[in-house]
Amino acid sequence: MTGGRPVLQLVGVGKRFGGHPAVAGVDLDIPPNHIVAILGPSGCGKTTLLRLIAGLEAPDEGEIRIDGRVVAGRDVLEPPESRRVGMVFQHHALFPHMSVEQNIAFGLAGRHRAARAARVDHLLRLIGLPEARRRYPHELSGGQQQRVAVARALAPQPAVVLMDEPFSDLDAERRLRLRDEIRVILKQAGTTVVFVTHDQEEAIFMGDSLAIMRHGRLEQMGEAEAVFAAPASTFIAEFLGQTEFVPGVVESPSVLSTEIGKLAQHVDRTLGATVQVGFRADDVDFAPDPAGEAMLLARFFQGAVAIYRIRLASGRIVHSLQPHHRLHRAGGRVRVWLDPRHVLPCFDDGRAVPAWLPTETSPERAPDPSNG
Amino acid sequence: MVSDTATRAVLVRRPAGRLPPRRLLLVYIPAGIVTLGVLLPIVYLVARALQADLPAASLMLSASLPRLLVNSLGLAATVTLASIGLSLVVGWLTERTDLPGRRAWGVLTVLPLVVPSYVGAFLFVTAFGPRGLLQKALEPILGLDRLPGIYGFWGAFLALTLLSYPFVLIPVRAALQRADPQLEEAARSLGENGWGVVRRVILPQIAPAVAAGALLVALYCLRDFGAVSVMRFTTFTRAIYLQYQSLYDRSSAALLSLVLLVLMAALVSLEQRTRRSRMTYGSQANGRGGVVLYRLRAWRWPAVVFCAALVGVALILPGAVLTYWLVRAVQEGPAWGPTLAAAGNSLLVSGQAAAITLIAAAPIAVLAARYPGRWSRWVENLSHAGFALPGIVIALALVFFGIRAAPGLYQTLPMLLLAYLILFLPQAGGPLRASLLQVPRSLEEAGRGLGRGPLTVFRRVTLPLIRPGIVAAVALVFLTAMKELPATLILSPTGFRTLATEVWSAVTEAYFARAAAPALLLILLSSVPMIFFVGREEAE
Repeated sequence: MTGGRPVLQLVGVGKRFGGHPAVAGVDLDIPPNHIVAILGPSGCGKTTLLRLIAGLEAPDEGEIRIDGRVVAGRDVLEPPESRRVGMVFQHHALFPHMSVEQNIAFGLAGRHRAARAARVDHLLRLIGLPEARRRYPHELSGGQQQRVAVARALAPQPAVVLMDEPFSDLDAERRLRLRDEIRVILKQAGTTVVFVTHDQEEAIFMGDSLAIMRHGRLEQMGEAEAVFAAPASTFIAEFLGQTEFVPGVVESPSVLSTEIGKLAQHVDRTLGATVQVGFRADDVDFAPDPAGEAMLLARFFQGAVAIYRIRLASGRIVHSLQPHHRLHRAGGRVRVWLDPRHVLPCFDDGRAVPAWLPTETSPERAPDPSNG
Repeated sequence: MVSDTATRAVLVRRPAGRLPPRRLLLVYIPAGIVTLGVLLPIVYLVARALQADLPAASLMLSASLPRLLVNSLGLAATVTLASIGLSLVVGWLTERTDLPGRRAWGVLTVLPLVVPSYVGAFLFVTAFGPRGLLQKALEPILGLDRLPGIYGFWGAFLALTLLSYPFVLIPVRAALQRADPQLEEAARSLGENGWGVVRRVILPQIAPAVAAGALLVALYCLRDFGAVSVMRFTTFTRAIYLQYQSLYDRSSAALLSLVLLVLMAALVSLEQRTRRSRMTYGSQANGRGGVVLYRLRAWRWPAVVFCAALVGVALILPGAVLTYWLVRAVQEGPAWGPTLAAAGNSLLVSGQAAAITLIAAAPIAVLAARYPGRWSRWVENLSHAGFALPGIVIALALVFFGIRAAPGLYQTLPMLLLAYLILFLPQAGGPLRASLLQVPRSLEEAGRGLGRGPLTVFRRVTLPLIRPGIVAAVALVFLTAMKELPATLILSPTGFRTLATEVWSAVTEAYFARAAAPALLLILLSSVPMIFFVGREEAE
């Protein structure tokens, strides 16, 4: 990530609840106008991390800087109201006794009346709800409420906007539409955002970059494509896009041998060592073969594609994704092989091992578990 | 925009693990002071009881304690059982059957709750007493010159049952409304017949509500002073009052108070345990319309007669008797002056009690709702001691406290207000805490994130949202203070008369007509929260 002095910096931030670490050793630099999506399963500490940044919790260790200013650290704990952070909550938290206009203007105290009105007008137009000005939160739909909540958070021009699962209250269809709109609004406002979710698709959509969190630690951070292609751990590989694993033995410097075929790739391990090779259903191909040792167990037809469930001779279950025009009947014997056409991530003891294709001269494409 | 120096000024230097000073100053310390204030008089009561001359005290206790235990617990048990029986029948009839006019019966059958116990008892005595109105009405027909006595156990039982059974009926009806009719349909589809559904599905669902209500009735009986005194049935409260009045023997009054405290504390801890289990029950209930009403057929009219008889005895008859005495009072040439003065005094002290109780309850409610933990749970439980403390015991404790620690306060209004504060703190704390819990913390956090300080956020966000809770707290304390008898009786400054003491003195001196006007005023004032309650229930 590049582009300007970081707006938000976390250095070794940790927080314990009753001896149990909720957040541990988190380092994070976020440049201006950048959206970071923090992704992790529930209970991984991502909401606590947001609350630490917002000033709703006090860190036990580490330092938090906003715009270069220390807001939490040794002997310093700025209250939320002086941190210049805007928050958007899961249940939007609009003030039920105030109109849309009053909600948005809440954080504009101390400004001139005219300036305040102008700012509210601007935001109402930005969220596309100028006609809802005098309505009350309960008169709005869920999506409209969340848009107002975003406008309210943006109104005082905060340094950072923090969003905690803002779409999880909505049904699937509305969620898709709303996140599109909100991303446009955030980008137009040119604001720096930390966005927390447990939904990987949402994280990939919303984030300029992705940070994967687990057990209170940031396991990996980077652009979504990079994280997807080279996960730093088996946990991330499984969490992002349903990765499956087979053991692979380093047979020669450029050949990795698995029970579903040999791969032409280098692995940074000695000959004879075993690693776990991660692959997804689109990396697996098969063909009906009465002499094959694998069984085609089931077909899950999904329209454009079909997923096949296959039991290997070892008893391991793998999946293969095929276009809809290549339909096979479940129940027969098949021959299975890996056909990735890209380097497959390899893991040793759960952590990524540098791996690269023989055509490459150096492990440039090796996974970079920089935050792990 | 906040200038940089201003921002620097809000930096908080905070040693690790300490509370923020503002929270300490505004919440923890006030809550601690109120809790100590509530507990201090009780400490004096215990100290006074321990001063008792032991041989004399043990003689007194061994002579009177067995009878008091039998009387108090026996009365509480029988009234509770009768209330459960009445409430199950009435609750089922009004919620689950095609009883004609069931909505109206549903409202009428909870109304007896508004009658203060001493007023109710006085009305029953003058109606059913040996030479009461019933006898007068029957004399020309049957030639009876007196009816069998109502005084004693049966009178107290009758009065307390008819006045307190709604404590069971209200939660039972709420539980029946909440109970998911799909569960009953499921039971029927699994082959249960009507009675089996009642026994295996409905009763278990409403059992926690019955238990909670039953404990409230039992507490009401143990705490009651007015009805048992009017009915001359000696339970703990009456014995304590008589001992206290004798002036020689205050340490045995203190000892009896202590025994009563232990009984009440046991019941309250039971009540809190069932309340916890009721919560887990309630959360799974998923109320949905579409209850199929049971068809009473031939039992329709007997059921109506039953409800009419209950409402007649518990509501219409006392109302008629009250009207009778009111008419008599007008005929006798009424002395409205004392009643008006008493009403003025009642409004004054009750208003002051509501104000100070609200202020005292606020930090405890904030602590309980916003900073839960072991400490705040202790403070909340201790501050709820008033729930377990009969007015007479608090009054006695404050007498001892006043004599020993604050002679200047003895028999002054501040002392009476302190008693009200201790007694009614839970009544103010409950609605406050509930309304605070209904304001999601994220609203306050959103306010802070928008650059507003905690006090501004409280004033602009929290306060407007908890206003209904504040109104409820003030109204509840105001109206219960108005009805409170024993504490008012003992702690009022000499010559200070309220509606409650006015009724009491008129009844003890058998000037029934003089009691009518203040009694009517008390009932009307007590009805105000009831109207709110019924109105809200109808709205739902």
